[in-house]
Amino acid sequence: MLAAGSSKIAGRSRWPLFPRWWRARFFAWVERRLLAAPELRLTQREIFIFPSRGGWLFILVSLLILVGASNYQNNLGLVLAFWLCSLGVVAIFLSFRNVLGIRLRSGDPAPTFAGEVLRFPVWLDDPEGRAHAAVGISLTATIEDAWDVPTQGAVCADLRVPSVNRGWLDMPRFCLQSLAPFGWLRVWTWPKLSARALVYPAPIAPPWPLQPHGDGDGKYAQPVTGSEDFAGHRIWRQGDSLRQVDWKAYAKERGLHLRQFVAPSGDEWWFRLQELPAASGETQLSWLCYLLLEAEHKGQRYGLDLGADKFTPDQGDLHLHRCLKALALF
Amino acid sequence: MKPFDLNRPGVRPLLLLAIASALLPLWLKTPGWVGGVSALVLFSALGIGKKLPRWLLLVVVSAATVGVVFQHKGLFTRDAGLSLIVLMASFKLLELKSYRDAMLISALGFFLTFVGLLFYQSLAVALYLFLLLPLHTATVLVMHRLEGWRGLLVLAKDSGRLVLLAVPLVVLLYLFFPRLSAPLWRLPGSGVTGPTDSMTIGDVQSLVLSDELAFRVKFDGAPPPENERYWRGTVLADFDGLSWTVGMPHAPEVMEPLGPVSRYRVALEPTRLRWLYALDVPQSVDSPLQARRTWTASLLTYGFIRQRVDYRVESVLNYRLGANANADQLAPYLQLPENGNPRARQFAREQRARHPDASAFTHSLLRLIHDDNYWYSLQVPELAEDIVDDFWFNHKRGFCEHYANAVTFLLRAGGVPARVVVGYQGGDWNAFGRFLTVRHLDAHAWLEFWQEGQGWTRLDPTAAVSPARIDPSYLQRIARRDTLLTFDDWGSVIKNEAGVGDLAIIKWWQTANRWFEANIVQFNADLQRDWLEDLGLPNLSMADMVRILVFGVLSLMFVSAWFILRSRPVRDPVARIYAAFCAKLARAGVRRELHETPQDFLRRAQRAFPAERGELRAMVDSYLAQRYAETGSIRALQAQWRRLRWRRLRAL
Repeated sequence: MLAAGSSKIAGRSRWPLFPRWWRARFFAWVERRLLAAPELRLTQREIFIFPSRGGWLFILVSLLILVGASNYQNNLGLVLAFWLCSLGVVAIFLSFRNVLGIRLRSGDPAPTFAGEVLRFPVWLDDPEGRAHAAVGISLTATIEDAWDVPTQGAVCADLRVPSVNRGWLDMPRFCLQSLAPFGWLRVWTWPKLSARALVYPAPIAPPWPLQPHGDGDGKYAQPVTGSEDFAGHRIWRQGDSLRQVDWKAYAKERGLHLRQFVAPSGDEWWFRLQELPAASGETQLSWLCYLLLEAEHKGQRYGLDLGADKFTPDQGDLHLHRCLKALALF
Repeated sequence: MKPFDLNRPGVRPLLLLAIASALLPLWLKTPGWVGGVSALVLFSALGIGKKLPRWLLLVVVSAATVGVVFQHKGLFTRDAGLSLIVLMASFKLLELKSYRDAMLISALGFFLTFVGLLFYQSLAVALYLFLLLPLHTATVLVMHRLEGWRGLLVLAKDSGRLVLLAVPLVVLLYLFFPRLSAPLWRLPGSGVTGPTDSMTIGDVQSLVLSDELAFRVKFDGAPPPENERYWRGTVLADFDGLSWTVGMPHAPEVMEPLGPVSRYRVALEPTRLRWLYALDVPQSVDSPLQARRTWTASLLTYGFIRQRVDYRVESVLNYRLGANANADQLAPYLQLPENGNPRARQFAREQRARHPDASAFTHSLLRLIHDDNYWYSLQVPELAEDIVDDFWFNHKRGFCEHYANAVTFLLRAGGVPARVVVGYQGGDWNAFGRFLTVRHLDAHAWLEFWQEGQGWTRLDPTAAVSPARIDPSYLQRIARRDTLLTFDDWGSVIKNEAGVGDLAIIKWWQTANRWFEANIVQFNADLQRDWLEDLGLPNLSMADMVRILVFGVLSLMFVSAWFILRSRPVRDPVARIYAAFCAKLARAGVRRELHETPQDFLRRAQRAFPAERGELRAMVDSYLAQRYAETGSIRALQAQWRRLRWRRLRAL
């Protein structure tokens, strides 16, 4: 599922200088030229440079000074004009240099729920160890956030993408740009990194109240009451829910332990897609998403039955993620 | 972090500082209240000014504009423009609300620097304004740095480096950029009428006050002494009672040279007339604009001089002109209007009766000017209809053209052929550029009278005025261009303090000032050609210069592109120092093997250079401490390396 095609980005971008049809052609060309890769080092092939508004103002002022000084035969004014021109030329290379050589690597995006803003982490660094100043990354051509790449270091920028639908969201083509160091030149590129993020369905509260102690007739996906009998401790493992950690024990420096509860098999909550009241598929999935979150929040053991996929009752972040992923990709 | 934030440390202070320092010299050139308001506004921008409501700001700005209009009696003159720029630039700082405003203000900083350069031509102010350029650059830089002016040292280094990076291109452009020989436009208020080819009393007055360049001269040999520098322009023969006009000579005047020939080149600024100026008197002329020598020994072009013209002249300073003229030829130079100025005519006839010799007659007039209460003054009251009478007997004050007019009239009335010559006198000799600058300020009128056997002889009645009676206000007006305003010319201030001038630094400063005046302020198309000739590039046409310029700019751009864009990995300083250390030992004959640890390498090096055992050990220890134990400091390592760096390693 491709979330944001190039035309969409083009529609969002705010370029006063170019008409819409030109933008569309430009992005079609960029799409062919800059292919997606998990890692990308910016070379002169990818980078564009053009005066910004401030740059046009600077050019105008320089020209004014040049013409004025010529006219009044003011040599010092001419020197100033020449110096400004030279500075402009140097600025071109320095601005270009500021973006040239940046290496982009996509990090692992954390899954998010549909309708929320998804953050794609992008690691910025330079294999040669040079610093890069005020590099902005955003979906459109306007800079919202900027990061400094330190000397011999990396910085994690993030690209914020609004997620609309559940499922896999490919990292869209984005605009990396910088005005530094002078603000006279906009240096930008439209790279695409091959990364994808999982978008869970949006959680929607079902129209019936969640009754932990309900009748359990199995008509709706009612949770089955579980016993909360404390059974003992177990050493914490990766993926276990933090909610069940015995924090008191941890505070006494006995290490991370889980408080385990014995739940007889009949006391587990089962969520079954087939048993949900009739509604559109997406709504049903959203309900399930909500119920799963609620169950996890309450520290309950829960299972999910989607017909084809079945997750036996368990608890913890990993279990929750598995269930939600199944919902997302259902 | 946001890419731009006005409240980031350093953005507002630097913008304010840049504008204030660029405005500082301009405040001294505007009326007091303008400077005061501007300074006050800038000061208020630190606090209260930012909170002023928009309508109030609008009212204040309008009031200030109205004030400027009243002060300068208009809005479209040079001085009104300056006041307006100063005020608007300061008010703009109260309206610093967005990135766009900040960019505008930073560009304004550069523009104000230019305005400052327009109004000051002295070395001190130029130095001040150019030394501010790193500040303006830093202002632009700080706006686009996420950390603002934190890391100020890096910022200072960056902006200083940028100023220097631009220097080669500046030099190239300065040398080869084609210079305009005539302005495209002039601001009202700086208009100059230039010399005319007639003389009505009152005309020259406007010229005397203008220090604009008239022409520039380069001599092949030494320049003539100051009192010989009479630049002949137009010979005026016809007088109608009010003004002198060219008239019609009857025959060419024969010139016999009596001294050596002086050769020189003149670069004449456009005059919109047809006269070329030459030292009294020109023998021949070689001009790109076709010109001829008239019968009265002045130089006349066939077309109007609308652009700078560059011509060569040969002049004879010691000459006999028109000695064999007959009565017919001299008749026009004796003519006077039918009536008018009866007292002057009467006076001339009496004087002539007393001094039958023409020369004695003229000298009696000069002595009268010197001894009697004649003043040199620009404040000349309006003269009555009989201008000669009124000037000679009543007011007795005037400037060159009054004297030339009156004495010529008296000579004619006394029966001596005489005519007025207008042109320029003097000029500033510039020892560094080795050229003479003649300004409109040097415009002058004198006369020639004819003597049997001697021909036309130059007579400057103005020079006869006793120096004690030169109106001080005139001196002051002349001097204004140099000394009136503050630090415009330290040189002249220092010169006045006798004794101080012996200090080496002051001498050096004066020399620097003169060099600056000759080579930077007065640099123009001629000097450019001279410089290029000195560089071994004679006779470059405009097209050649443009070609060189394009080629040079492109190659310099390639060089700077290479310099900036070349791939140069940044290594950490510790590794860099160790690599340099190894390279030094390798040059001395001990090469580190790839598998060798620093300790092994050290043992081998110590065996090879036993004299330096301790130093080598200290170096490697320092490196190891810094690299692996993380206990040493980079400074210690650097200090150790400095000790070892220039030491000669003596092998056993």
